[in-house]
Amino acid sequence: MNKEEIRKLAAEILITLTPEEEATFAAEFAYFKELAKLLEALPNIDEKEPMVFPFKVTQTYLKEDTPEESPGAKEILKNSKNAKDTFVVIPKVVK
Amino acid sequence: MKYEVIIGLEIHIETKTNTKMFSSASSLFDAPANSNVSVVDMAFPGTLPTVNKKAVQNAIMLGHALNMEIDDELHFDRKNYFYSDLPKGYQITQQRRPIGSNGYLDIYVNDTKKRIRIERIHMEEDTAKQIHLGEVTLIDYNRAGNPLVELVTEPDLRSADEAMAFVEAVREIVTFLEISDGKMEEGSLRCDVNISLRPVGVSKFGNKVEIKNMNSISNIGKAIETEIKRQSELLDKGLEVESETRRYDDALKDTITMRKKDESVDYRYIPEGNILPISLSKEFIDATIREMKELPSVKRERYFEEFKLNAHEVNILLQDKDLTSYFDEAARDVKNYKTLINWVIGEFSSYLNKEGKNAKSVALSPQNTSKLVNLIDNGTISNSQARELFAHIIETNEDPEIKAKALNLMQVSDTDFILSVINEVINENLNVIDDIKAGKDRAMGFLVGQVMKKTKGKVNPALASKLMKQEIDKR
Amino acid sequence: MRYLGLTMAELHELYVSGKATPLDVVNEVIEALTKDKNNILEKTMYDEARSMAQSLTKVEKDNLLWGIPFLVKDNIAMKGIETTGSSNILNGFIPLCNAEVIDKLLAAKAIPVAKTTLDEFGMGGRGETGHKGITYNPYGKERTRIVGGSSSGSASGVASGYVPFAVGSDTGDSIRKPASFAGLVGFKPTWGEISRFGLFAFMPTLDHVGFFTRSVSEARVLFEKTRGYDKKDATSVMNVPFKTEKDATLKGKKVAVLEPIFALMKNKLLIKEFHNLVDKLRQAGAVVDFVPFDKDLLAAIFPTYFILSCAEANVSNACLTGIGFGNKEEGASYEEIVANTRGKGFSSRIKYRLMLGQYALKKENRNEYYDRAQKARRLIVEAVDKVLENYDVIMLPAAPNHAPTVDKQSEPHSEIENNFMAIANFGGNPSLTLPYFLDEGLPLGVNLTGKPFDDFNVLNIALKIEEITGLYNLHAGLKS
Repeated sequence: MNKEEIRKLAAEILITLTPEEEATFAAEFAYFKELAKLLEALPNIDEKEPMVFPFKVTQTYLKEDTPEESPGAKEILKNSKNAKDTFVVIPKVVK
Repeated sequence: MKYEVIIGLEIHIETKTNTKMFSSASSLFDAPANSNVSVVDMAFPGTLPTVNKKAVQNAIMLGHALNMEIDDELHFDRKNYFYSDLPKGYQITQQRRPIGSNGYLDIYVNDTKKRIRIERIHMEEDTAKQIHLGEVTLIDYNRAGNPLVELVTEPDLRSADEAMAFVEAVREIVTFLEISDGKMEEGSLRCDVNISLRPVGVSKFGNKVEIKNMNSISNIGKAIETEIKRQSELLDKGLEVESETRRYDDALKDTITMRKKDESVDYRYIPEGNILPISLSKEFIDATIREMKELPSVKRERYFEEFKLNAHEVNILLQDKDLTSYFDEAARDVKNYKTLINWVIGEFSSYLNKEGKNAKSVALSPQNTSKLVNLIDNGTISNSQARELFAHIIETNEDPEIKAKALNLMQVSDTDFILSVINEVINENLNVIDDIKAGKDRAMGFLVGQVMKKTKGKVNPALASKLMKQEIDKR
Repeated sequence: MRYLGLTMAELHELYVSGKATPLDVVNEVIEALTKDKNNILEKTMYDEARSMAQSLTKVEKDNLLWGIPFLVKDNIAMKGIETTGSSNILNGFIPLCNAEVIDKLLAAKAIPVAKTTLDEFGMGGRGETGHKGITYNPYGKERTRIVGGSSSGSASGVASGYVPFAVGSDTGDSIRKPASFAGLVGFKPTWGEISRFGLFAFMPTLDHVGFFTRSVSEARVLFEKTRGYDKKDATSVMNVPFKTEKDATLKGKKVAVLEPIFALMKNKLLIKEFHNLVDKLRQAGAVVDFVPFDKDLLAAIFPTYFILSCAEANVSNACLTGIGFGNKEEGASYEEIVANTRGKGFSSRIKYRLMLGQYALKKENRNEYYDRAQKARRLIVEAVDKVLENYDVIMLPAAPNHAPTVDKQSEPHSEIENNFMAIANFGGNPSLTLPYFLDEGLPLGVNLTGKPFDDFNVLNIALKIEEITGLYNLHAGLKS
């Protein structure tokens, strides 16, 4: 992967990379590709049904539509450094 | 038209529940900012979604009303993207297994019926609300996680009228089923339009343009009209229509480019690993459908077939769900549906409009309204007496029969008395009799009017007319 | 140091006989923890622990967890206690509610004393990548060996004898590998048996809550106390009838050793001791067979795990933006705030994993990466199920060697023998590691993996193995 592609990939998931990280990632990626090759080796792999859950069980529970008390604005926002009063405030978002 | 217009719609409906789609916080987002937000809605690490039964039932009812196949298992997926109104960095939705598929809705445009196929309906969750103020954006998570149903049609619509009729039909269904307020101006019903043009006779679809940001059904129509014009002009010039997203601007009454669609967004859907597939038993689905409120289409049929109402009357009635409910209840005890409908869309609706009231908040019960209407029907009171009586009882909900007697608002049907008044009127207007005999029938109305005047409107006008004619013929 | 290195049962006896109070024990635990040199601690809860201990005045005779101090891996939420996932991006983050497993332990009157270090957000197998740096193994020369990961602090703390148990999590082997390196019992029950509510998600369908103890019976006590349907967790399994086992016995039990994995072992003592154990099992009436297993599938285990977990970690951690919570960095726009927060708050290692995960999910790549890995998961699980059709458990050395020194990296091309335990995450199988011998004082474990929902059977077989080895309540020696 070249530097441009690496930067683009990082930008897609909204993280910044140091120059060292950019340099190291190439090796990580090379290893990743090698791992993927080992999957290719499995016979008829692409015809297999993907597995999402480890086993099949019958679930029927649906939550009753009864409200539970919320912590309130002050409490629920106490972990946000952007909280002002009862809102989270950030620089204006452009759509 | 040189071009065939191909339209598909994506409609988002906020469904009515007490709690959110995946958490137990209250779904009332019209509350103080961030007061109805749970740890799950804020996407705190370690929190998990659980599925709201009522939201599922709302979706089942809608799917049934839209003639869809209801999936007997609930599967959810994650739609991934970063945005400030999306706490988890993904939205829980149903991509692979929508709860409803392969449905249809019949719409009527200029009395022509057309079947619009519906590809899917699925459940998902709403985002937080953002308020843009000057240099900042305020985020209110009350709405984050509220239940939505997304409806996607096949590209079967061919005009602005058809599109508007479809959205209106959906609005009607969700309000009558009481699963949504269905108000575009409030955002409880949102519609995106996908539109392309192709030369008549050509089978290949043109490039699709997505239009967003219409806050009323009429704006949907306007947006489609302007877009048809824009695309036609491009195609006329031999230019290609670019795939893009445009937003409708209500001030300009036109659409403007929002973003180009060279690459469609890659949402990297993965299955929602925090929710095992949930089985919906046949009993549960059937019970949900059994408890559904009556569909507008069913009401329509009843009004046409059984009540013999006309299209105009039916449309007015169905535009207001509360008025319909009121009418339906009153109809149970009424003798003549015509009289009732005239009364409801006439005097009754005038009152509602004047007072800014809604049929649900009126004091006069449907039962008493039907009594009032029956009194008109059997001639006990005249129309004008009915209006006077109505004014007295509309806010007190007194029994109309009792009140009419008390106010002496009963119509006189005593033939002898009427005849005496008629003859009095005739004797006072002998010249008019000559006019009538000469063929000027309009004078009849004048004479009957005089009878009504003398009796202060208490006489049954139909009866007075009949007897008047009878007396005149005698002379 | 009268109360350290004791089992629950031993402490319980002291409580019942009135010879000690929970406060006595907690005070000693706290003293030992403050002197710990292995870098095992995140946020401590000493005041809360003392307070709770003081409030416990009436011994519950039938409750072995009453007054028992324990440690909690810092990816498990505790109300009012800073919980960071051992990542700088969550420095200062204070959950508003307890994880369900914590609520259950508190209801049983067990006393949480401190949060412990982990590989950042559960991603790692050596215990070196948390924001506090390396966590050391109390075995071997001081501060020279890793204890494994990702549940490093929990393993190290129990192996030091400070507390009888710690809560951990296991997504690929994060309890069962450190258990091997630290001479502990590490138990990961069937997926869905213990509620994941409050466990920071890494990959939901592989994540499990589990425990470190120094004996099998204590693991069983914890399992019985914390398992059960939780309606807050939509993957909490309901209505599966549980097979309870009568008395533990090895007679008629069938044990499968996956021959191709065992063939990769190079440590001669390990091999000898393993065969020794096999003989003893046979003598006790168990059938032990060395069975074949497809080599390509074995080679696919680690790639499947790594590709899936990177992709899902990418998604699970997309909520960490600094906007609604988290250790926010400055920025002139939403994107800048988020990118700076994540860029500064995540370690390099996490960033690489998230980027690889993003790559694996992109439209143009996912066929060969994420989708294929999901398919490979099914192939692997089917193959494991097939073996377990005819056997009670699969048994293998939990690691090819004892805990390495910090500077010693894994052998190249040793992914299979170092990562095979992920099969129990793919299939949600109950899986337990327990020590089976000491190599010059350094412990090594054997791993048992059973059929989904057959947890008690696995626990019983483990119990019998523990009787055979006699390696019960091992700890690294308590330094005064």
